[in-house]
Amino acid sequence: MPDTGKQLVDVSLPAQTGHMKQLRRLVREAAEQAGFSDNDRDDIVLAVDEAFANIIKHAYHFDPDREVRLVVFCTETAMILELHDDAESIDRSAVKSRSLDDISPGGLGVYFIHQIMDETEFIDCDGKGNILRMVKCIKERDRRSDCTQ
Amino acid sequence: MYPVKENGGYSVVHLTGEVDLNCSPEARRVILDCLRSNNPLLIDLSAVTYIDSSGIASLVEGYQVSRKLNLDFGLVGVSDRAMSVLHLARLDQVFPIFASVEERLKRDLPREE
Repeated sequence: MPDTGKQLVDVSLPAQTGHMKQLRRLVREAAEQAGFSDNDRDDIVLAVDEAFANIIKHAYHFDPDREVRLVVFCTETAMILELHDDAESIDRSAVKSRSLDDISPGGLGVYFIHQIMDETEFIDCDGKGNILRMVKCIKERDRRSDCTQ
Repeated sequence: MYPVKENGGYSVVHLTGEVDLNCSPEARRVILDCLRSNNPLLIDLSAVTYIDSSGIASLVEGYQVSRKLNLDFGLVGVSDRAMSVLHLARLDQVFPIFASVEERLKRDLPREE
């Protein structure tokens, strides 16, 4: 089990587009606490927002009664962000990043997540949902010693 | 929700605030309505504080429809945050981008059917 460090956020939000602003605020505050620069904070917010949107659209098919749990930890060197859903297992082969040669209206969200995050991992919870774990490393100059257990 | 103004033969759509999955359907509707009216189109992004892939998708769709209809299309006054996301998607090399509506008007007249 990797060192997950200090917990910054653990909250469940309704899987509704009207709650995306709240999600972005929570992620931005956590990224600030972890020491990320303004630009990195903007990027991290975008990546998590895209992941939340994908759950709303593709996992829950816009069912407003479902929830997504956001959990954020930080260590001295990285922030770990998890989105937990209770949807059916994801067909990982269907989660593809768009080719940038393909100028089409859709498919950019997964590309953004992979571009911004240093690691992304889908964890199948044995038919009880999915966890998308994203790791963003903290640049050495931005590191804070208080982001440890 | 998003105001549209006429300027120099163009319809200018002003997108504002946070253009996310909650708001992008409205942005898409306004953009496509302008194009369906056969108007050359500029989209002002100067007041956009956040845009996600669904907002970017609305711009891409508008650009594609404008090309099919042979209507002029451009982005103007792109805010730093919107430009950062366009750059991440490498679409800053694809869209015609101008500093302002006036800058676009200085170049030449809008193309019409």
